[in-house]
Amino acid sequence: MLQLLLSLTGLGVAGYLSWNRLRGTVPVCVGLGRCDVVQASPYAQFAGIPIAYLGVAAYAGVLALVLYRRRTTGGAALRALLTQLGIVLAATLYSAWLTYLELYVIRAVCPWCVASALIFAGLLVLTVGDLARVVGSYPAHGGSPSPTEAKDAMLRRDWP
Amino acid sequence: MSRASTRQKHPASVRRAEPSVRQLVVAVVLVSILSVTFMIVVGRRSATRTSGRGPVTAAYESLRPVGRTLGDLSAPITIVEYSDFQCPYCKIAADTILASLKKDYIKTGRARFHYQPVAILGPESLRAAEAALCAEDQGRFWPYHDRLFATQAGENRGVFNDVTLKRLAADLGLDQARFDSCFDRGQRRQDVMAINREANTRGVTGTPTFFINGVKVVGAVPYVQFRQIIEGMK
Repeated sequence: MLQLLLSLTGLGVAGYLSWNRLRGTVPVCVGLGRCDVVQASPYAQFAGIPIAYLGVAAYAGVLALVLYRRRTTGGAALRALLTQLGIVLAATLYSAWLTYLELYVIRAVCPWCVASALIFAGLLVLTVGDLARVVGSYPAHGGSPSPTEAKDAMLRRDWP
Repeated sequence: MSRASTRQKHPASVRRAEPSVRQLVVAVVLVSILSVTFMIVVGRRSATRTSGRGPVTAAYESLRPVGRTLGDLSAPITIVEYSDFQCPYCKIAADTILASLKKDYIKTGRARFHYQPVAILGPESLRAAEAALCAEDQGRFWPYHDRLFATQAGENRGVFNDVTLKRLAADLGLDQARFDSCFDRGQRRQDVMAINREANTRGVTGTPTFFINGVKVVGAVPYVQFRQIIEGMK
């Protein structure tokens, strides 16, 4: 449930930033930072694509995977969990890099971007927690479970 | 299903044949780290290009150009200009007001200046703005901006035709193939449209229009008015 809430909140934040980008307006910074400066910086886009759009795609992907995992079991759920891990890990690392740029290169902070970075970090912690429970639930042969065993674990629903 | 029966179903030989979840996790982590590293490297290169480092922008070096912005990005005063490359008063503003602002406030780190190219005077305004944004992609917005105003002569008289706009890019030593591709495909047209919409939203009805920390100044008014407003913001 928490992952669902976090991904929805993140989608809202990234959606708001994208909406501003589409309209060519500056996000409301409510006196907490310099959104205009961050938005005008060349780091606000990657290969011509605004970072906010990438954020929407990432959050939408995580949201879809979280919902999918609630409805499915077995190998499909395991693949979804691993895909989710890949997305949230990449997003967290990239968000950390962007936060560094805000603090030490652009020298202006956009609170919306920081909020998004924290949401991705939270999603990463929760995803790793899920995965740890899957791996930890199967010390069958002295090591980590094979995907088949993990699938079985997921089929039995004896993991979160 | 019990653990024991699961183990029976998947004998050791089968287990050895497939990677463990732990191995898959390691693979996913590695792919993520590599992807992010790639994005950081590409993003930095792109940002460096856009920030306009290079011999053509040597005159702007002290103004710390970043895309269409001049000056310290964290300067306390932000000046945004909405300007049309075909507008004669915008040329006057570029030659006089901007020149003075550079000297008095931008170089000193007290203000940053952001240029928003709008296209309100017709098709050649649109093409000129698109061309300027294509030059921005190669970190040459400001030299291109200067060339456009130096070339300006009337409205929609064929001065800013495609051949001339491409020649200006060639004169500045831009990657011609890249510029032509950007320009011919209209890759920055949506950005110009977005700037037009932004100008409308902010109540811009003519050019040039400036916003000094949100305070609207319409027209190429005497520089002293800019001074008064900026000094009043101390």
